[in-house]
Amino acid sequence: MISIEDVYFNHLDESKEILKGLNLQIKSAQRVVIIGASGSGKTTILRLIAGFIAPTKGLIKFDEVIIAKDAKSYLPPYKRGISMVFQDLALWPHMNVEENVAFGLKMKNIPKNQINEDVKRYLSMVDLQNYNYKRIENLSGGEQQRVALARALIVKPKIVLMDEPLSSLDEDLNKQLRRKIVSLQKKLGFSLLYVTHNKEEAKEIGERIIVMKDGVIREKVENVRL
Amino acid sequence: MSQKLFSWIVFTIIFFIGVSPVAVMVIEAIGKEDILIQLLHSKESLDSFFNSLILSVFVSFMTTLIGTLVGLILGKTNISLKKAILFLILIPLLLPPYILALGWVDMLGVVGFFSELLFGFLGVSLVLFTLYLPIPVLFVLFYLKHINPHLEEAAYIYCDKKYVLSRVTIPLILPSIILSFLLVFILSFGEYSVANVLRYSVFPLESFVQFSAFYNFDGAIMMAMPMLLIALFVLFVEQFYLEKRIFKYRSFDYIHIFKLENNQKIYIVAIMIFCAFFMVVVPFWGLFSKIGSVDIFLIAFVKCLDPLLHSLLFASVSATILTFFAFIAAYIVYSKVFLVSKLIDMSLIFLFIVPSTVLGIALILFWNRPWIDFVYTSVLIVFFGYFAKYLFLGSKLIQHRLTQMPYSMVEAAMIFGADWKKILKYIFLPASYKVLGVVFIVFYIFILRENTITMLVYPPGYETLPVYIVTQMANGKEEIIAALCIIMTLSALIPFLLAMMLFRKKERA
Repeated sequence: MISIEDVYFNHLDESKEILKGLNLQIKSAQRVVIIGASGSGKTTILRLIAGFIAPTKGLIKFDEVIIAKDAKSYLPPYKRGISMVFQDLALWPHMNVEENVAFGLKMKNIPKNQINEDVKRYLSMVDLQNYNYKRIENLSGGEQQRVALARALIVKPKIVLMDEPLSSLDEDLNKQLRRKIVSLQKKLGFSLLYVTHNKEEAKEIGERIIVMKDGVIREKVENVRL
Repeated sequence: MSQKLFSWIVFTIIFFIGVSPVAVMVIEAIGKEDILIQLLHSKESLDSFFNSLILSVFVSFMTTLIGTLVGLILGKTNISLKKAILFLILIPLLLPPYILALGWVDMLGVVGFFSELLFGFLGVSLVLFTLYLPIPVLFVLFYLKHINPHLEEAAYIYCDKKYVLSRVTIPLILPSIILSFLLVFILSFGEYSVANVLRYSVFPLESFVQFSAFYNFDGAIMMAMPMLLIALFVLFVEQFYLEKRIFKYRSFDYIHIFKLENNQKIYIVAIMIFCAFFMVVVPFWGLFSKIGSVDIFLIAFVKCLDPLLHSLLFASVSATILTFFAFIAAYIVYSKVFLVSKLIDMSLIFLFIVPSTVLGIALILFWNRPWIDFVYTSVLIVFFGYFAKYLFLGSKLIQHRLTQMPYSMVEAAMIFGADWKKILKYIFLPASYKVLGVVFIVFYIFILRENTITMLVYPPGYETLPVYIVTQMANGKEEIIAALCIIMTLSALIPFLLAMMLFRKKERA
C-alpha cells in the first residue's frame, strides 16, 4: 500500500505551493483516479510517488516503509517497483518496439530467452503481435499508446502510474483503450493511479476518484459514478 | 513577387558569391591532375598530407570524447560554477587560432624539453584541442536542452543513472556527437596558422605556400582539391545520414538533472577548472609575461590602430549585412520551398565546411578577372569571403528559433490574408529579435577573429588586426606581437561580455 501523509511540495525556485498538506492512501490492486484542472497538482503526486521529486514536507510510505520524507528521497525510482505511462508516452525514438518493451527486463538482467517470451506475451496482450521491429515514429497514436502500456506492465510492477495517457487520442480509441487498461489491471492485479481531467475516463476507470483543486483534495468518491 | 521567385534570387546570390567560385576552381582543376600527382610525389607534400590526416583524426577524436564528457557534466549535473567553466572553455573559439600557440611559445620558450614537445605533433594537438573543445561542448549542451526529460525519467524507473545516461541520453545525442566530430575534423584539417607558429608541416600550409610564396596558382588549386573532397564527404554524411537521425528540436520546461554528491561535485569542479585554467589561462600568462610593461602595450596599440579599426569596421558592417541575409536564408529553409530551400541549406553547410584556404583561393580565382575585378581590388572580396564562410552559422541559429514557433501562427495570419512578406515582417521578424541579436554577435566575433580568408584576399591597405599580427610574426618584436595578441583578445572578449551582460539583463527583466 502507498501512503502519502501531510505532503507539501513547491519547486526550489518558486514560492507557490503546488501541494498543500496532501493525504492519500492507495491500496494494493486498487484503481484510483485523480481528476482536476491544469495546475491542480495531479501530475506532481505521480512524480512524487515515482521518486523524480521529493516532498518539501511530509512523508511517503510504500508498505509502511518510509521512502521519502521532508525533502529527502530514500529510494530511487528504479527500486520502488513502479511503472509509469507518461502523457507524451516517452517512448525512446532510437529503439524499436521490442527494445522499448524489453528495456525494463534487460535492466533487471533477466535471461534473453525469458525476455523474448515476455515481450511476445505482453505485445500480444496489447494486440501488437508482429510489431517487434517497427520504429516508434512509424506507429499510430493508438499503437504507441499500447507499446507504452506493454513497456510499463512487462516488469510486473506493484503500482502503475498513468499521467493522462489517453489525452491525445480520439474519443473512440480513448474508450477502447481505457477498457483495455481496466481489463489488464484486473487480470494482472497491479494498483493503478491514473491522472486525468476527463470525467468520462475517471468514471470508467476509477474505483476511487479523487478530485483535486489548487494542491488540495476537494473530494474523495468511492465506487460511485460522478 | 512570389516567395518561390524571391527564394531563387536569394539562392542565386549565395551561389554567385560562394558556390560558383568553388565550382569554377573545380572546373579549372580538371585536366591538371598531373600537377597534383607531381606535388604529391614530393616527400614534403605527402608527409604534410599524412601529418594533417593523423592530426585531425587525433584532435577530433580527443575533442569529441572530452567535449562530450564536459558537455554532459555541464548540461546534466548539478555542479556549481558551470557558467564560469563554460566561459573559460569558450574563450579560445573567440580568438584567431594562432594566439594560443603564440602564448604557449612565450610561456615555454623555443629551447628545452617542453618546447621540443610544443614544436610538433603534441603542441599543435594541444592547441587545436583547446581551440575546438567548445564545439562538441556546445553541441552536446544544445541537444541536451532538447531531450524530452520524460524519456530519461521513463528509463530511470527501470535502471540507475549510469544506465540512463548510456542507454538513453547518449544514444539520443549521438548524431550531434558524430556531427561535432566531423566538424572538428574538417576544421582541424583546414587550419594551418597554429601549425605555422609551431613549425609543423600540414597540408593546408602547403597549399597556402604554393599560392603566397611560390605564386604557383595551379599548384595551390590542386592542393586544395583533397581538402575539397573531404569537405564534400562531410557534407554527404551530414545530409544523407545525420539529418534524418537528429530528432526534432523541442523545448521543455525542465531538464532531467543527475544529482551528484557534494564531494563528487567538488572533485569534478576542481578538475575542470584546473584543466581549463591550464589550457586557456597559462598561454595568456605567457603573453603577458612577454609584454613586460604598459609602454609596450601602448606602442603596440598605436601601431595597430589602423588594422584594429579595419577589423572593427569590417566586423560590424559585415555582421549587420550577414544577419539580414541569415534571417532571409533561414526563413526560406524553414518554409521548405520546393528544391530551393534544400539547395540553400546544402550550399551554406558546404561553404562553412570548406577549409578557409580553399575558399580564399577560389574567391581570388573567380573574381580576379578583367570584367569583374572591381570585387578583387576592393574590400568587397573580403566581405564575400565572410558571407560565404559564416552565413551558415547565423542561418542555423535563426532556423532553430523559427522551428520552435508553431506553424499555426503562420496559418492564423494567412486566414487574415497575410502573404509571405507580411508573415515574415509581422510574425517571424518580431519573434526573432533576440536571436537576431545573438546572431549579430556570433557573426561579429567570428569575422573579427578571421585571418585565413582575409590573409588571402584583402586588398592592399585594408589589413585587419589578425592579419597584421601574422605579418608581424615574420620580423616583428616578440613583445609587440604578444601585446597585439592581447589587444586582439580584448577586442573580441569585450563585445562578447557586453552582449552577454545585456542578454542576461533583458532575460531578468
